[in-house]
Amino acid sequence: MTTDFRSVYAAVLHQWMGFDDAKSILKGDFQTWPLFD
Amino acid sequence: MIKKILLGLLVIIVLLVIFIATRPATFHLERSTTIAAPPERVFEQVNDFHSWPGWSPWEKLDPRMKKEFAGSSSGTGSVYSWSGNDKVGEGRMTIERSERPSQVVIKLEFIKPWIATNTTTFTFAPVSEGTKVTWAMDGNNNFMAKAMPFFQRWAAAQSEAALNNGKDNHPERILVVVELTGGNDGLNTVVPFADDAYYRSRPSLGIRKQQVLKLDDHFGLHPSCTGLHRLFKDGRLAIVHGCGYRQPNLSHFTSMEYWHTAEPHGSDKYGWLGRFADARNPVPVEDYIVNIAARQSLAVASARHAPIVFKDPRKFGRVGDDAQQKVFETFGREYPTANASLQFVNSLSRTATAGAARVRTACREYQTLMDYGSDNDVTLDLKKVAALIAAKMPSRLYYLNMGGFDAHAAQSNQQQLLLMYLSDALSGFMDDMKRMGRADDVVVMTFTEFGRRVAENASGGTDHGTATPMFVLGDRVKGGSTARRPASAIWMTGT
Repeated sequence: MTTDFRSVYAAVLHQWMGFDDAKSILKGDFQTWPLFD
Repeated sequence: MIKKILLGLLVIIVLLVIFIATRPATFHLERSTTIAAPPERVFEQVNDFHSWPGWSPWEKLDPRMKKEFAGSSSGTGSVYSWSGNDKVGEGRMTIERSERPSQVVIKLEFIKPWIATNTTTFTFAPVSEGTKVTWAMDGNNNFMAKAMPFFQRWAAAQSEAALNNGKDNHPERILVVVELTGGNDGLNTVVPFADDAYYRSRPSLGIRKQQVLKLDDHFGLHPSCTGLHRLFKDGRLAIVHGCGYRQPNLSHFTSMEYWHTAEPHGSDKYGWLGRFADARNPVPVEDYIVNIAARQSLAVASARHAPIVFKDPRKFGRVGDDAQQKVFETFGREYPTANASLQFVNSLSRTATAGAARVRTACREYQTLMDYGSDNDVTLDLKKVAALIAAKMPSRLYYLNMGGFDAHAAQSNQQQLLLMYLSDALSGFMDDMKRMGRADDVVVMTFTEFGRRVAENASGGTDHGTATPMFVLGDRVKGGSTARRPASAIWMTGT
């Protein structure tokens, strides 16, 4: 395993849904990639 | 003494009347903000009253507010009436002029707690950051309006909140999550064809290098994934390799629960999407979550939102024996009662009944010429999602699952068929979104509870493994692979 799946969740919540506080939903801070334009 | 008091009061009243009477006869309020979306997208959110629950703070002041739509489905002539608690009162909005994508003019009539008629104008101007949205309200100041200027300030504050809500929330955006149940074999989905260790571990199951649909000089998709390959080539598919969690659990049930709750080795009675819905909308938004399934997934379990859960839209509704049907019919329509509990049950019941009717109508009326591949579970479910999006449901989270991926034996044919169904359905769905003009608003994410072991087993299958790739697709997705170059196939699964 190299990627915690919650990193993808965090990217979707923050970058796509525009939700700034993904940390509170996922109960942790996860590194994300720029998945969206 | 009493005469002096009365005289004093009279003087105060006269001065107050003079003050109120000399206030301006008309008023104009205005607020602006910038939203990171093109004018067409923002315009759509305002031009269709059905979209208002997704962003309007008025909707949140009374979640049990009665709403009725009349006239045109959107644009000029569409009417939206509401009636609710003391905070929202009663009134009606009518779109009087709609100029796509620059302006929407609304006649706003308040009936309760006071009568007033104003004009609300939304204007949308393109700017480098997206769209500058300006809300303005104009009206006449009658005596009551002059006496209660706080109402105008309240209306302006609510509108400012609405504009900022839209700014922060991307209200037009939709997330579709597709669960691949059973543990899909990631190694034969995104094949590391340049890795000798892969072929050594899978002498019969390994996908030949000549067969894969190449993504780059190291990875290729399973040959049945032609639709996904097209999306990748178009830059609309992102592949995130090696997804999992520390100390993986190889039980389907337990691992899936971890993915549903986003809490490996912990527990939560609510799912990550349900928690997100609650955090985004502290006052629940009707029909915000849709789960296409016979049973609700833990992923969408929410403290405040009641997801729409259905598999067959024709049967979506309340069923029961004769006595139960009578109760459903009674509570499915307006049921006058002074009992607060019964009022609440009646409100919930009417909401559920209305939601079921909307779903049935949307699915019945939906038609598409897009090619989703053959009719199978995931195809039909994605068409239901497309139908609800086409019907402009206010739903923002869609969740569905596709089963059959647990291939301990005879994996080749089984996975080939499933991946073909999935790939064709996803590419057809994205084409359908483009046809509807919603391709910029919709993203699909796929996941499975774990991957499979690198080595094939003696039955022509693979056993439970750990990590697996996730797909994120859509027109606004930055396509490509997020992987570093793996040293070996083992890197991808973690086994």
